[in-house]
Amino acid sequence: MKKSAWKFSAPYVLFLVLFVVLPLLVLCYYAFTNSSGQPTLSNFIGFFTNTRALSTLLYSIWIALVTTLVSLILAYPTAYVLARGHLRNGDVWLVVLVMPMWINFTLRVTALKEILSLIEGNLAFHPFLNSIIAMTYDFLPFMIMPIYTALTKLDPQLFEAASDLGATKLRTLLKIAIPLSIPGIVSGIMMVFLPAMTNYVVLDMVYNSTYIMGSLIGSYFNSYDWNNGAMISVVLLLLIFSVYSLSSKLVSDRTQKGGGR
Amino acid sequence: MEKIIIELKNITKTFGKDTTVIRDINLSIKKGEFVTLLGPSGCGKTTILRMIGGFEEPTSGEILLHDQNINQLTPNKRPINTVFQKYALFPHMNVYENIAFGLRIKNLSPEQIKEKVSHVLEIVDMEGFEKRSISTLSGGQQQRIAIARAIVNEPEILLLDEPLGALDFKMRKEMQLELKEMHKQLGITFLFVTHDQEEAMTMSDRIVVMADGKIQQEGTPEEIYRKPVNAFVADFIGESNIFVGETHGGKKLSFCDTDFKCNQNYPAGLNVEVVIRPEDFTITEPSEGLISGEIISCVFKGTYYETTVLNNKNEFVIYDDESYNVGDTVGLSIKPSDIHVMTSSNSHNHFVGEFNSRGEVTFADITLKPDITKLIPGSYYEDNTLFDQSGNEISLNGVRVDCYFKPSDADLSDNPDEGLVQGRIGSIIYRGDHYNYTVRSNTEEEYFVNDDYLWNTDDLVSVIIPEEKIEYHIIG
Repeated sequence: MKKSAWKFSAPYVLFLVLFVVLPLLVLCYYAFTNSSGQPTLSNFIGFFTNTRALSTLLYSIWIALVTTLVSLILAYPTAYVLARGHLRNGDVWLVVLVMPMWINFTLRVTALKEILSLIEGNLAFHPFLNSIIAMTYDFLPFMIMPIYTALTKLDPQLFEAASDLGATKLRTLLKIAIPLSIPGIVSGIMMVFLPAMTNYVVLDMVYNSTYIMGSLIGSYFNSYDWNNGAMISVVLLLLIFSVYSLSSKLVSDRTQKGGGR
Repeated sequence: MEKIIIELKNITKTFGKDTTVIRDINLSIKKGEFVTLLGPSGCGKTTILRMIGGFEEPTSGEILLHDQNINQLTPNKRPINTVFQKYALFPHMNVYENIAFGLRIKNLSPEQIKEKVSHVLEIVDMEGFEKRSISTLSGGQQQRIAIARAIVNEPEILLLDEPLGALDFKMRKEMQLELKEMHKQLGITFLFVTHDQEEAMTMSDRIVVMADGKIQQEGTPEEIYRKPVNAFVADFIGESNIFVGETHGGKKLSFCDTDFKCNQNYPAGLNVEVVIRPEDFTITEPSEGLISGEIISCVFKGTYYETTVLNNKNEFVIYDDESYNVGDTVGLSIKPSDIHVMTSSNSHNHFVGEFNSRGEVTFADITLKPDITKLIPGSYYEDNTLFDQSGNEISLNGVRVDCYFKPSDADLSDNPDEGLVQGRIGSIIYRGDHYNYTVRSNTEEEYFVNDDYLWNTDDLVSVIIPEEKIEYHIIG
């Protein structure tokens, strides 16, 4: 049994080691050494004492937060209507909303850039707004899908029961739908928040001068400073990991609320 | 007690374009009654419950609550609560929060909520479970919480949609009695849906037997069992022997090629169906019975023996305390009061037709030209004009006429052009040596046809009716 399991998983394990574990080790090696290969913590000390680097970090978090929030506000009602609205052509609408994911993202963002410059004239006037619009535009389907999936998995009788017990549509949404779709919301947040912190390519493509963490890593690597680039990657990795464990704890707390065992 | 709380008037429900699940149902329920909708799956009983609960809107007809039309009222505005088939408890709330859900909407004070919740937990025998999460409860416990969550709102009507279906046998028996006890204690009107006839018998004040989107019979459990109105009800409620027979005037009738006496007078010449319950036969010596036959099986069923006796091609199922040897010849006697005669509509096709100016009769979906000279004694045609006995011209245009044909004279075919009318098989009843089918055309007309061949529900068939077998009687 064990042997055959190993056989079947071998290709993936090999892939994992070659392209995930080893690069990660290389990343850590660079992060904790200096340019001459000596082990050091100076990269990290340098980062956390550099106010410009820190403000880039905070700004990235801010952009990611706003993007996530805007995506959530747009995605939840959309997913709710798709999942529960008894639309005549619900499947078609779902495809229409998810279709942007099938189009190459450089193409998508280029199109968005054209539209935005048509409206705004000069894109440089609204860097923050444009960042949020571009990011939200790019990541919205990743927020809709998990919420939609979570909502469709709910037993329709729960909604009927709520209505039967006297709840209005709004109350049913607040007390039944939202609490029960939190796992979907959380995975949607993960899918949007984390890429939004680093995906500077999107911003570059709308001619945006906004500097986020991704841009920082990019600029270090472009100047062959592997150590500092790797260090920032590790910082982001830790940040992402803590967000992840925090939110998964939130989910498990939610689902086990009231457990009396 | 006598006041009508809810009334369904000519309710029809159609899903999509042409799936009719409820056909013109009328039902009224009195305050405080325990009414059970009983029927096989797909008969529309749950749809009725859902329309009363407000989850479906009738396609036509009216639902009256205290004489007020509530068709458009959403579930949250109806003083009606439901116990759902799969309980539908909120998984993210504990027992207390589930039960308090409806009370919080009514803006009761925390003390009042607490008091009411502990009161209903007491009723359902679940004290001390307030803090438990739903996932830690067994099926039976979830069931009780679902009931508690519904009754805590003090609804005028409690709807129960097969709530005991998921429980094991023993638990179900226990809950049946408890529900009945609760009904007495609370004084709320209960409307219960089940496909289990025994459950319906045990619990209900009144049973409404449904099949194929229609009410077949309503009555007390005993009425339904003792006096089923048609073969479907007799067959569905308990084991029964159903035979086709004919009346001979007075109390005399015959079935299985044997003469019997019942305890009611019927006019002679009626085609009837006879129901005899298995426990109503007495097994006697061959010479002493009204009818005799050979024992072909005898099976012990725990408290009785189920004995099958064959007479020609008729089988009799009998429940008896004693065991018999297979192959023995025995006699069967039946008390006249145990022979239940049904002059059911399934034994006759009756339509009211109308003549047109060309001397054709149109009834249901069928237009035929009967031989009018046979219908009106002494009448004759001359130059395509009809004259009566005394030579006066008669016009039949618009005259109404009763049209009859026997199910046994009609036949079914899968060739759509062979018969007079096409339709789909609605219900099927096995009658000992043949099947009785209800065929429904797309104009919702129903035809009863006997056929030896087994068709399936929803099969598209055409009904062959020999024209000479159709009887016409001019009305008036």
